[in-house]
Amino acid sequence: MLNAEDADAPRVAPGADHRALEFYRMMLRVRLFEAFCMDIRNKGEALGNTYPSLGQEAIGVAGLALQARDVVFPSYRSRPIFFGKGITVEDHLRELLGGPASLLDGREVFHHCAWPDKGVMPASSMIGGWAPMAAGYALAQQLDGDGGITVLCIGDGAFGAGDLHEALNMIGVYKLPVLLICENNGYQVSEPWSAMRVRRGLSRYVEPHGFECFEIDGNDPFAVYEATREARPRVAAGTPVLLDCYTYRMGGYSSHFGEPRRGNEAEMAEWKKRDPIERARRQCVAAGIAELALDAMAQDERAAIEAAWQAARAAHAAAARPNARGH
Amino acid sequence: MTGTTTYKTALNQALADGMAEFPKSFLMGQDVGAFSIGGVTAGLHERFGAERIRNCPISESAMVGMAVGAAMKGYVGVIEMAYADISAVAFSSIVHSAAKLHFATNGRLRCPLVIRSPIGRWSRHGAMGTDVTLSWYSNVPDLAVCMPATPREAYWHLRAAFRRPVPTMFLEDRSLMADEGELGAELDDRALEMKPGRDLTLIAAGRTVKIALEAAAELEKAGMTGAVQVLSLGHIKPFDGATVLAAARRTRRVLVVQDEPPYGGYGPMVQSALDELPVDALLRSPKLLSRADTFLPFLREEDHLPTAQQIVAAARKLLD
Repeated sequence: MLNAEDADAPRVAPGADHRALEFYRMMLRVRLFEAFCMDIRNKGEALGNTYPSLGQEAIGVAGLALQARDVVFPSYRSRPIFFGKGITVEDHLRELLGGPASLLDGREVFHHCAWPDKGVMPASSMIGGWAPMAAGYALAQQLDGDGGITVLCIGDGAFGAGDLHEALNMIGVYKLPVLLICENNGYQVSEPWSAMRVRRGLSRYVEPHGFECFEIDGNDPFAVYEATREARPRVAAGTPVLLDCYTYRMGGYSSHFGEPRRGNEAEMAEWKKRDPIERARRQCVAAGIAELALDAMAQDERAAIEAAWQAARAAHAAAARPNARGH
Repeated sequence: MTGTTTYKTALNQALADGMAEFPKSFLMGQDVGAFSIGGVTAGLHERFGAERIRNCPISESAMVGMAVGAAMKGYVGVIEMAYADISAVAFSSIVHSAAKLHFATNGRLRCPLVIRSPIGRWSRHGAMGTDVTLSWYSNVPDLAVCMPATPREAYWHLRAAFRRPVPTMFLEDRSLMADEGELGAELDDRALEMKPGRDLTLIAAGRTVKIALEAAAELEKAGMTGAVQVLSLGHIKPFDGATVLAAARRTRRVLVVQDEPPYGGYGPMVQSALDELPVDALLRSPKLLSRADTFLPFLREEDHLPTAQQIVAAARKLLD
């Protein structure tokens, strides 16, 4: 299963109880972090808009099954996998504040932020426009023969973009090492998938391009982790794989659009029962972890976010310089 | 470098030398391999193999995007568009993915890719094969725009494009492919004086350099010895305002010739640069000779482009 001699081995060691806790901790961190970002934005303490991943946190554990040499080309809503790749809360908050204390010095909006050295590549406002870039990075991996893979994250709304289809064809015909992860939440801002394409699942569209396709319960961290772990060596060997992760966006499209999704109350209630955070917690309890320990961990995570925010603000203030208008 | 070569051979040689200099480089296009449709990539497939000389599906946007992705891992991608016009379908990848990468990542990711977009003049491809796309791209920051006029410019500017940390839109010109010249000494991205002159500076790029030189020769023959200077811009971005201004200060008369309509391009750029001069620095208002605001028709496209005769007439007026 895991190769002990591989220095790039995933950070999560085998053992179900350990993994359940690891998954829960990471997913909870994402949930708390997204809420925190919206809160500080609403209070005017940060300028950046966000595209929260509420309800989609389990997909992020795919990052825990990757290796350091693997890279991720994210969608707007791939924040969970950033945590899986090892980006910390403080890393994020420094970019949200921008300025000289941040990696990108305020050049890019929060939902495009990249940490290339850690394998998190830039996103794009051109939906689907990052698919060719992912294919190109995978081509470079193939030419270098270094065994790394490229994870291409899309929302299902990206299915309408021509760039995605051009890239899928290229990935298939060149057998590029691409793991396509669809965060299939069934919505394109306010419109349901059924108004945008004939089938919700992407498998039957993507399979003819030469991909192996799997439909995954995107709210189950174990399902996502195992599927990624199994797919990785096949992808590295030249078979592109689609993991079509069914999930549900439990919050708005963004921090600021305020779009309605009329008549989705029943649907929301149904998916609330499958809330991935609650589910991961139940998985921990089933693995024998005490509720009290989980509560304590949640408290620790809250405190860590607050501490990271204070640290990021202090760094931001220390490095601040006046802008062109003297502010 | 010594010896005479054609514009097409110079491009071919620059690709071969650039790809040899950068083992991490590849070329993508349609029919660029064993069969080289335009001839510019002839022999590269045999030398570098199918992994580096890649025939691709008709997916211009994906080709550009892929070169950007590969650049993130240290590769230099060269994209051959069948025609400059076709770059329109890849516009988003060129502007958003390629040109913005270096800026958006605060310089952490370089994007040294070359988009070779041949201008299809004289090839009888009508309005969708003859666009001069220079001005489409001139207002995109961090995108170099090059339009070589001679084999020397074609060679050295293409070599330089491999080394640039930002992408280059390289507008080679089909109507110049058979033109001959020397590769000569290495060029940087400044404008080049093609012919010295005292009383009037003709500013041109690409094909218009050729007709500007023809016009200058005709004026010489007509007795205006040493009057007309010809500058070849080579690059429209970065724009060499310093050379333009120095020339204008000296000759005090400026005529710009461009193959595009007057709403953009280097003509208005030169005129804007000349605003830096004191009010009495020029003896005449600078003049822009450009194409009318029209596409080029399948037949008689030459009727709509500036000609050497028009340059002679405009020059005579300015020198009057």
